[in-house]
Amino acid sequence: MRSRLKPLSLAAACVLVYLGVVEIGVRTFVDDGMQYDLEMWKYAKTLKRISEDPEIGHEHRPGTAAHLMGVDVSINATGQRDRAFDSPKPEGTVRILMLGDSLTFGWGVPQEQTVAKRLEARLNAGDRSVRYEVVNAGVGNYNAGMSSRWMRARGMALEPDFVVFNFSFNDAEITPRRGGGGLAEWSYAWIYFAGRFGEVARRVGGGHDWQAYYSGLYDDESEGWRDAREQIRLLAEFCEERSLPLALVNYPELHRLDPYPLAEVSNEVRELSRSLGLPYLDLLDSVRSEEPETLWVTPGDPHPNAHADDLMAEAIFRFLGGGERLVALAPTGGE
Amino acid sequence: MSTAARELWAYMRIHKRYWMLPIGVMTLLLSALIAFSQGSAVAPFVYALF
Repeated sequence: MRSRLKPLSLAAACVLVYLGVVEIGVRTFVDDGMQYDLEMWKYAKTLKRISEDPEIGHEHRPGTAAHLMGVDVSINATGQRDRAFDSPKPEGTVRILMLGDSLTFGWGVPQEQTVAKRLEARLNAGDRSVRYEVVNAGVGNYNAGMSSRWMRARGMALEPDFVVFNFSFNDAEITPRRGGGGLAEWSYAWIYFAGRFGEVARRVGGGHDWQAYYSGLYDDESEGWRDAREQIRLLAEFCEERSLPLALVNYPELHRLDPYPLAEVSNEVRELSRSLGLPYLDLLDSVRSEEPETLWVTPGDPHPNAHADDLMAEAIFRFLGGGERLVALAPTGGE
Repeated sequence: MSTAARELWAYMRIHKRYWMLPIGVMTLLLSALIAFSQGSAVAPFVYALF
């Protein structure tokens, strides 16, 4: 009996040591600060928390900071990836609130090069009679419903004069709940290899690639798309009751742009916008002529990079008439 | 099977060091995961934890 137990114990001990070596190896050689799965995991662990409001799901931890995907990220005291904003708002200021997810947040993009900050710089360039503040209220992994609920519960505290709903192709996902537990809380190797396993499963196991997955979110029977439509409708009502202008900006998926494989999704979003009477901008035209890979954060992460954000900010700037459409909103500042 | 894997298997068999087998299997599996997941991203955005 003892002779059989000895090799089993030895094997178990070796496996434990081996897993320890793998963990050290992933932390030392794989975690270069640009590995998507690991960086998103660090983002969730260090900068996010479960919201007290279950309707919102999760939110940023105020006053936190981290270096993620090659850039510094700091969260202000009110939970945005942005500087602090005065309250009450200074007179003569037009404050634009940018709702959205990781694309609005500027994943992998330096703070001052995100869409919100580039738009702010453009609006404030030249001789203007008003000062513009563009608040980046994007939170990674928000869907349309979470953005809408956050705006209706918390957004007015930031005293916006104009709201831009930045719609992403994955906004029809159902509201995520915090997963994890066990190894997923602390093991870099677990997160890394779980990501690799998912990738292989999609390639060889018949799982959904990005195109099939995103298209599937917009089926008529999709619970997430139903909720997204309802929540955008509620947001439109909320803004209308407060005479708060709301516009909808649709962000393209950057894997392939011409022909664009998610055109049907864009049509659905445009139709929703039209039915609610919301000004609508599709950002596809702002990037369509570019090589897709030149717009990505990394070859493995097709979030919009700083170049893409610059093109998109320019398109939104023109959509807003270079700010002229917003000047009339200035007198509300500080009141 | 590569020469290295064959030699390792022969070593384990001759010296009856089967306790080394799990390490070999795990190394193969993890290596295969890395090798087959290389290339351009086909996955939608996946968020760890939330």
